[in-house]
Amino acid sequence: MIGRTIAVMAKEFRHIVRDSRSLMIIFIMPVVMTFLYGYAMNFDIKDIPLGVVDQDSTPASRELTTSFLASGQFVLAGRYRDMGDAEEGFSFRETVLTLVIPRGFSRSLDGGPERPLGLLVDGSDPNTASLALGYAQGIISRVTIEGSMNALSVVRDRSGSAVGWEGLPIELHPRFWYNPEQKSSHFIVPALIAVILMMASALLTSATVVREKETGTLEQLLVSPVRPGELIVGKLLPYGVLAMADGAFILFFGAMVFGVPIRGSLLVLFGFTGLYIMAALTIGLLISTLVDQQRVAMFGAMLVTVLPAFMLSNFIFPVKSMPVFLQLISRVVPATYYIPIVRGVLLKGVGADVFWENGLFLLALTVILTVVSIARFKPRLD
Amino acid sequence: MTPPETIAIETRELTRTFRRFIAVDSVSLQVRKGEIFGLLGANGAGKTTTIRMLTGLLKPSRGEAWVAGIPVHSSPEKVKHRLGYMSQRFSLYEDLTVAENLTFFGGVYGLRRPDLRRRKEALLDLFDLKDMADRITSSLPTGHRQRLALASALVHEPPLLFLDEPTGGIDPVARRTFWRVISDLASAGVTVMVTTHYMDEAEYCHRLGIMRDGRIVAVGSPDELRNTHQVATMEEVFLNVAGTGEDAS
Amino acid sequence: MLKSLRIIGHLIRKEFIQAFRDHQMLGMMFIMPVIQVLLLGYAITVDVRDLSLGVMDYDRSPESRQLVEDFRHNETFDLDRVMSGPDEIRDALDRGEVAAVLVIPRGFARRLGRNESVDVQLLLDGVDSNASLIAFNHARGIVESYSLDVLRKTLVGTPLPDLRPRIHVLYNPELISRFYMIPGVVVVLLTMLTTLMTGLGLVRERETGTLEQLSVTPIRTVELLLGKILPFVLIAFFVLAIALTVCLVWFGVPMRGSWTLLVLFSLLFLLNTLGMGLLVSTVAHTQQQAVFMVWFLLIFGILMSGFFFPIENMPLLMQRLTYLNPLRYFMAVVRELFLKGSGMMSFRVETMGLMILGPVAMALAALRFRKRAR
Repeated sequence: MIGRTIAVMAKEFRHIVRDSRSLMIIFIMPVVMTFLYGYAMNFDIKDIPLGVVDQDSTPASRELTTSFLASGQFVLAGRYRDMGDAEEGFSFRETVLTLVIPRGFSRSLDGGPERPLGLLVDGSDPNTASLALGYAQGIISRVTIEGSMNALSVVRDRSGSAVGWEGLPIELHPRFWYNPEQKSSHFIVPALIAVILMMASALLTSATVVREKETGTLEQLLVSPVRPGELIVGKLLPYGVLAMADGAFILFFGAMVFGVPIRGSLLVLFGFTGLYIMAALTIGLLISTLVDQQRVAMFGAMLVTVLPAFMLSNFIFPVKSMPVFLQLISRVVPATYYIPIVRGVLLKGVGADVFWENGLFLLALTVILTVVSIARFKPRLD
Repeated sequence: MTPPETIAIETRELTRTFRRFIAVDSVSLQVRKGEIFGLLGANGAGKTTTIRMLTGLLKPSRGEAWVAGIPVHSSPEKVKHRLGYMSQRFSLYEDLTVAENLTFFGGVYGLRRPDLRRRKEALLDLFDLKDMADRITSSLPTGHRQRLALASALVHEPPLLFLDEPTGGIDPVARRTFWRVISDLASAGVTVMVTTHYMDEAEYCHRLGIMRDGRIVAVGSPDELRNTHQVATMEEVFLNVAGTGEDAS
Repeated sequence: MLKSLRIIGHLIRKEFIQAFRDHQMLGMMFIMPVIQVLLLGYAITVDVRDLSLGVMDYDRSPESRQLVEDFRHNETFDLDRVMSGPDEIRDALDRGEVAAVLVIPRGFARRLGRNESVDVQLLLDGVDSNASLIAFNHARGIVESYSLDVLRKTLVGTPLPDLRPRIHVLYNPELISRFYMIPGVVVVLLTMLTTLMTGLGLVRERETGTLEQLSVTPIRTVELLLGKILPFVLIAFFVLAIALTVCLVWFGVPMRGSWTLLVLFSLLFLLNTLGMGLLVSTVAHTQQQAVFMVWFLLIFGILMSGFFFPIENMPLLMQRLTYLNPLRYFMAVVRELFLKGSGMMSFRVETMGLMILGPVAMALAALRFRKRAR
């Protein structure tokens, strides 16, 4: 039995090695992807284009504009006469946020009638919009605080030091654990590796069984004493080895280029990666047993992996804030389990004690999918 | 220099190399109109490469090839509506029906609707495929697929027909029927060039060219060849000139 | 000319017969995209909300509890856990059970009572740099307004500046991520579908030998390529129509722009994806290679289009690279058309990009595709 499995494995290995183009694609592409997207994918929003409508034109209003620009988060994209003008700026994508300083603003600061500031924001990209709003409110609030502190020092000068308050009553000090420099790449790159591996693995196996159906070699195998289980396992393992090598390659590359720290045990990581890859491979395999044509299989594999790997996997969008039915679906996306693992091991240095549950899920997924594949794979042709 | 009108195919020093390997080596041939010309040779002798050059599928490395008075070596596209081609793979659209395949290939040759209908009827009749017109091609037995492939190659009534090992995997009865159609076509004036390694099929050809290692090593009618080599069968001729005996199975 | 059209007509007919006879593929083409749009529409939650917060209150005074209450009432945070010591804090952050921990020191109330500043710590799980930064910004807002309240109480009678901006969100007042992301999902699916279908088209004919058969016919390269592309334009439009209907009807994404523009840009975009697919099919030897190439192009297309990450955030070099990406242009057009109703004039760059890249891809494909082997 072992002998027959090995025979199938050896054959698959030869397929892999002979097709040098595919082999190159499998190894080069992920590296290129990691490299490219590790740089390209970046949440750090700087230089938000700011529009200004200054109807006050006083030193105070100019100072407010300056504090926006001095923050480093905004760059001046245009000055507008009125709101209508400013809206034009939005539709031509010149600005994301526009600060409207009304006439009488500086007088309102000195106790005159209240003239609220306006913040116009392009809401079409909600993420950028809320970030920009957050920054703007932060700046305004700091201006408020500075004003308050100034008022405070005036009071202090008048009444002696009885007032106290050398600074703000409460100072909030943040500590960003695991990623003190706040690098997006540390968040993105490990997960990117996971996503790429899952897609590549599923694509690799999706064609294997169908291709043999198409070329007729499956018939040949079926008249041999090879049992379905042996065939399936013999097909899985070589791709598992290939994908593992691929994974190690990308990981090494990603860690080197982006300086992603490896704080946990590599051995633990490779163990989990093995489980993960097997789960991803079995997805492709299952598809392969379900359909009759290569292109349908690969098309299917692409459809069920590409977007789900990005969107239902904790890659960017946290699964736990999704509706329940999507959380259920994400349970069959291997990356959902693996992305927290790879981030945890690399960045936090935690290990199997934290992630054994995820590991079990991956194992269960692999076993179930393999069993279904074997069951679906009937030892005869229709 | 254009060959005379009675010559359907002429090659002059036709050569094709793949990197360092010389697949076809200075082949010079003349095939007359209405002739069935067989290219005989072991696997890898250069028969298919020759046909691929003559049909404009492959650019010759050297030499000239004139098909129906058109220089294929320099303007391969011009000759295409004059020739029919059937490869050893019976390249058909497996997921189309018999009739749809014929319609499609006729359409590709630019046949108009009435002509198309007429040709389709005639070919279905000729190849006895009428009952199968609506069957999906992949479900046909090999013999029927081969007939359909030939029918598709003839849909535009080409004066020249190139057949590359047209009878692989076909039973003897089907083969005989097939050759009867080929003979009828030839007597109607169609020039046929065919490659084969079946010796009995060689007998259907008016003239034969035997190829070995990319070269033509003998040309003549089956009788001429037998006489020259003073043997009783084509098989012996073949073994004498084409191979070492081992690879000429 | 007329003859060409007739020939192309036959090619198109053939492709359609093949497409509709292949039920598995058909199902995949029409049903899967709809399912994906339906499902993934719900997956998109970029808003940082309900972050689980742990609290370590060493002071346990009414003042410190007031600060904790302020955090509890903010929708960014979900007060999940009251911590009892540093070990628990580390463990909870390690396991990812909390995203941030607020640490209030002993003596918090005492120092406030003496009008002395007091330091409060916020420990954040910095793995998700984006979410942790947003969380910190919100926390700072809460703490600052607490501070200002304290100041106001001590300085009764002195006017303090009170700048409360009026916020006006244009185009998407409730900041619903779905409105922005779903049209993007449609674009991605459309790209995947069309590139893959054309990418596999010629390769499959090469594998089965029918391409050789076509090569001995008088058909011209242009006719063949057009015959391969046009059916997919029609199919793609059909899929697009279904997917957009889901967008509009199911998810209520507003469509403020002109339908004519959308159709025109879709056509222009299809020219690009189909050109890419054709190019792939002239390079790839096997279907598997074709699929891997399409995959590579697709991921490039998705990630460099601004779908997940705004292009403006990328390093300059990467931003330049996105100009080679047709998805970048169409993504912008679709989103702007839907939400802003922008007109033709605001899409000058996009029009240019699509008009250049598509024909270039087509031309390269036509050049690379020769009926005759060399």
